[in-house]
Amino acid sequence: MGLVVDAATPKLLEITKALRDKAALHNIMARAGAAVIEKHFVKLAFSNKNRFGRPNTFWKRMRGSVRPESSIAQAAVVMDRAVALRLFGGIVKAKFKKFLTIPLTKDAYGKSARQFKRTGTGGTFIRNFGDGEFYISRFIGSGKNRQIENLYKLVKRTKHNPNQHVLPPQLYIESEVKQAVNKWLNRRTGL
Amino acid sequence: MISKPVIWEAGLNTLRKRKALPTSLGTEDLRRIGGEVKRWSVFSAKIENAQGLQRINDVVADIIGGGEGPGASITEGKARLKEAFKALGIEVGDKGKVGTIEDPQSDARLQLIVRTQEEIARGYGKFIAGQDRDTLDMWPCWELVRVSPAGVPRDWEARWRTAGGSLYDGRMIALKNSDVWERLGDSMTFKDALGNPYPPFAFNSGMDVEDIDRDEAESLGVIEKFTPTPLPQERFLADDLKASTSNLDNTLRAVLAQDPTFKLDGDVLRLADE
Repeated sequence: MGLVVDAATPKLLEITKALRDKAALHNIMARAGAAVIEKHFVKLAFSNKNRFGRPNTFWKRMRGSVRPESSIAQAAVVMDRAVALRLFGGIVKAKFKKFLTIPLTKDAYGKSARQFKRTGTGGTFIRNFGDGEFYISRFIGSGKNRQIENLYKLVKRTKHNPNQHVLPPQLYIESEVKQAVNKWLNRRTGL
Repeated sequence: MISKPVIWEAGLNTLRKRKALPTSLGTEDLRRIGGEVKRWSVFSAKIENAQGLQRINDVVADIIGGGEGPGASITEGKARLKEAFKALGIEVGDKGKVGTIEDPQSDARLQLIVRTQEEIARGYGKFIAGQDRDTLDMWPCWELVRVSPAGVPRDWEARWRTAGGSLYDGRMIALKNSDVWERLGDSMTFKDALGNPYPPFAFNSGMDVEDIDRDEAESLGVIEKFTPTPLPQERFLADDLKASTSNLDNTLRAVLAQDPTFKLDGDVLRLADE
């Protein structure tokens, strides 16, 4: 005659109870997913150079926009829509004005064309090269050294190609989330 | 004295309704006053116009809201602010400083206003959203990390030590409820600090925090195996408004004493009662 001790059922019951707490479970999943994506954006911040030689602030902003959202029904990671544009690609069209302004110089980067003075010495003006090619330009220098500087190119639309490397690989995100859930289960059940 | 704590939104709304702070104060002076008040006025130094301050709030709210409206990008936000300041006659007093960061219409100043306000609002939101027991139990610590390159980085390790922090394998980690975070953002200790115990801790900072889980914190020796979970923190406007005026000069004291918005309680400056 033998004695069988059921040590598994109480543990399984604890785990089942924890997994039924969907709100808490999804909270942990969302936070773990958000953490993975934030770290990825930090890598992009350091590896993507700004073409005007200034520190890249785009990925820092995107990292700041990442936030976990969860409910009883789901776990999600939300971020700025600019990430989706780079991930899936797309066409950006001028929405509120006739043209998009593409900065061509370090001075123009990060500024609206309206921030440049429009009249008087050094004021901006539109250059039309025909065939729909327009620039916002200004004179710099004086006398014999006077030159035209093109500050912005005006375009009606720009195209972004899709880039899957904008986010970490799906499998990696999943494995990190699973790891976090396992740790959470251990804490919840005391196992 | 403030008779009761106010929740964040209520406190901010209260601030919004009040008239502008004594705006003869410069940024340096305002920085000494305290976190929360400063958040809404520090970049408005020398802007003696309530409408200008309100416009800053409106622009930042649009940007943070992530709306699709024409003012929802930072670039457009700055342009809107510049136009508003121009229309309201908000400009630098010393013509020799046009275009510098002391010029409210300069790109440098507008950039600082809009970016920092946006970052603070997001930082506060993340801080409050993280104050639940499960999250604090799973990730009881923060690590101070660099999240974007800086042209001229501050010595954050030195700041960390000054704030009382310890290093673990060269990493700046502490429990989320540690006083280190409060001291790191203390403008009495660091002149460029913003006064909040969550990032951004200083102007134009490329630093932020990352969650560190319990296992990693234990393996590094930051916490012991059975260290209790940090308790959720509530942040009341009152905490962020309290400021020591012990280092203010007599002129500043005199200006503040004339403003009914504030009350000097010995050496501590507080909001007067409603």
